[in-house]
Amino acid sequence: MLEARQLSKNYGEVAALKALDLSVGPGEIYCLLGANGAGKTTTINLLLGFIPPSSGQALVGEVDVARDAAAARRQLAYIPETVMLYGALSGLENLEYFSELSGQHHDDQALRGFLTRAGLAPDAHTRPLKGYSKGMRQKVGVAIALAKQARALLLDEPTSGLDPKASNEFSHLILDLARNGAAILMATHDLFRAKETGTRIGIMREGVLLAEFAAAAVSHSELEDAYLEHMED
Amino acid sequence: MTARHGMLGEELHLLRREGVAIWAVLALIALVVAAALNGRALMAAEAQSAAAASAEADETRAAMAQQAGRGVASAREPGAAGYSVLAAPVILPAAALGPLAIGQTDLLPGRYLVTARGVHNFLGNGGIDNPLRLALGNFDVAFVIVWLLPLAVIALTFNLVSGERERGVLAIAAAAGSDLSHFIAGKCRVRALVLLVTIWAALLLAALVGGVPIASGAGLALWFVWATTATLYGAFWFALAVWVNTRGLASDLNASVLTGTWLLFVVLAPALTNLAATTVFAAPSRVALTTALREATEAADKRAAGERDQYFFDHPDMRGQDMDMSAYYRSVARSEREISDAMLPLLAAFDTQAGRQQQLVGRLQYLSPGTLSYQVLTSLAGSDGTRHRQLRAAALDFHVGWRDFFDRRLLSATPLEVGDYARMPQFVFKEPAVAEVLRRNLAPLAALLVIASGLLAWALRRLRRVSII
Repeated sequence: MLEARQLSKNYGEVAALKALDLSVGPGEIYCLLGANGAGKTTTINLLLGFIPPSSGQALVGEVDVARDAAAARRQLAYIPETVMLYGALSGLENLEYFSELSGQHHDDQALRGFLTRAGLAPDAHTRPLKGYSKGMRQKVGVAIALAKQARALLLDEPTSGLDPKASNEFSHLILDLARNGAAILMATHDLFRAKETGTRIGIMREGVLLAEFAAAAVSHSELEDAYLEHMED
Repeated sequence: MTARHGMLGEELHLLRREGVAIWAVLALIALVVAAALNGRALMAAEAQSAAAASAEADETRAAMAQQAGRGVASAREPGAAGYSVLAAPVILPAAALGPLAIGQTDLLPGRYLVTARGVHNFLGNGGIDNPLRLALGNFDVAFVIVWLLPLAVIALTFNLVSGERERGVLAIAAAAGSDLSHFIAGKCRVRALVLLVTIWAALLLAALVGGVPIASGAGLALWFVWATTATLYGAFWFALAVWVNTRGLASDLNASVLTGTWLLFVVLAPALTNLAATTVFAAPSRVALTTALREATEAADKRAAGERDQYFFDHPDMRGQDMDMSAYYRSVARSEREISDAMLPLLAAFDTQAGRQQQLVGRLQYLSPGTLSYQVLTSLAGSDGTRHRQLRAAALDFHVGWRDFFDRRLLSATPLEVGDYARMPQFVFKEPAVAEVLRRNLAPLAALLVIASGLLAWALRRLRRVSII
């Protein structure tokens, strides 16, 4: 569903991503680990078509993003590190706004259903977003993905700054989405969450995918050791 | 939650919730209405003052006519009536859009009290306003449009794209499958619609509370072009804000660039234009004018004293008595002509320089949309100085007829009859045709249209390449 083929991105002399090969199938959660500047966000931006590749291909459901970004994006949902949205609108209104934007028309009951499924308590649905915690805003982001019925989800450090409870709730949400067939690519610094949530884990450094594991095949400590080993000079 | 149909409804709802738009719109409407009320009050005060001057002149003339009927010598003496007592008010009538733009109404005389004496006696007595208000300037609708409307536009649009990028909305919107240029163009359309409705609603209110005669065809046509000018000016600022947003800068930088441009176009450019005009074509010295007037008056007095001596030499029987009244006023008339003849070249020099200054301002106005719009707004409202210069020229023409009316009788020693008072020349200001006013403003309006639409087209084209992250 999500695929990178020899995908590279250069900014002048600086190579942000070097010949990345990666694929995420339906129902899979691929966690990309790496320090800042490793190329995780660049990978997501290339799959979203926000930046053009220097070489290689980014594919979403067989659609080449560089050729037809709109068709690729129709199958995607994206949750950035910080979901700001419109603070003056409620969660429900934000969801309605972004659903309209993607051409989806849902009635009030359906919209509330998406928010509830995303884990947002009903009494918060109509409160202005500016009063939401980060975890609650992330849930609105998930509700947007649910309303869109996206086949693939790109998450850029979504649990950064969340408390353990909110982080755990978020993990359950994306596990639920994967169980429903979504392909999920998540960039994160959180080794524990990657091990708990992911089906596969990749470690990146300086634009290169150095290692890949099946999450079930490594223990927490083995993952940590591997990560630290790859981060050393 | 009420259902809103489509993105237009969603955007309007968002603007309403964010509050800035509502406050900007309400503030703009309130300021425009307050300015229109102020303009109406100033016009009413001016009209009241002009009516009082007119009534006083009519009363004096009626009283003189009655005295002439009773055979009172001074009322029958053309010299006494024309050179000492009577003054004809030459008044610029209120313009249809006067309450919307005070312009130079308080800088240039809007009325003269014409007598048979020389022009130098009435050209400087035009009832200029009090200096404090001149220094502070006028709070009128044109001021709100040219100075404050851009700030309202900037408040609504400075973060049109940058704010969405900073909130992560651009990325989420793009990922949601939205065509970003359509998404942003939609936001532009909604804000443009809000501004358009606000400007026209505010100006309609201004016309109603300011007493603009929009029920008449001419008044409505002028008001329509006035509102169109304000709209084009607002469109320029809107287009500039969109263009700045396509540069990919942060919101605070966008705000700095836009307010800096406002400072340049709205505050500095008009001041520099005025400075250039008055420096390049400086008016002759007022001190030189006063000195010349004094010298001319002394020369005329000297000549009149010589004539008086000659009169008493020729009429020794009259020594120790007053001079014959007719002879005295003939002497006064000659003195006035001599002083006027001496002063006219100097007064003409002032006119020439003022005309050159106006021409230079006319050319330099194209450097700033603010200056350009202000010139058009005041021109349509009849307060850019053109009507005042026309009044001055008409007053000079009228003066010739008025003076000749008395001089003919004075020189032929024909006393004034009651009927002569009714036959005295009456001043009527010939208002320039609306078509002529519109024709005069065609070029600056076309320039404003080209600047605003060109910039908007450029900005919308750049929107296609706007950066998401």
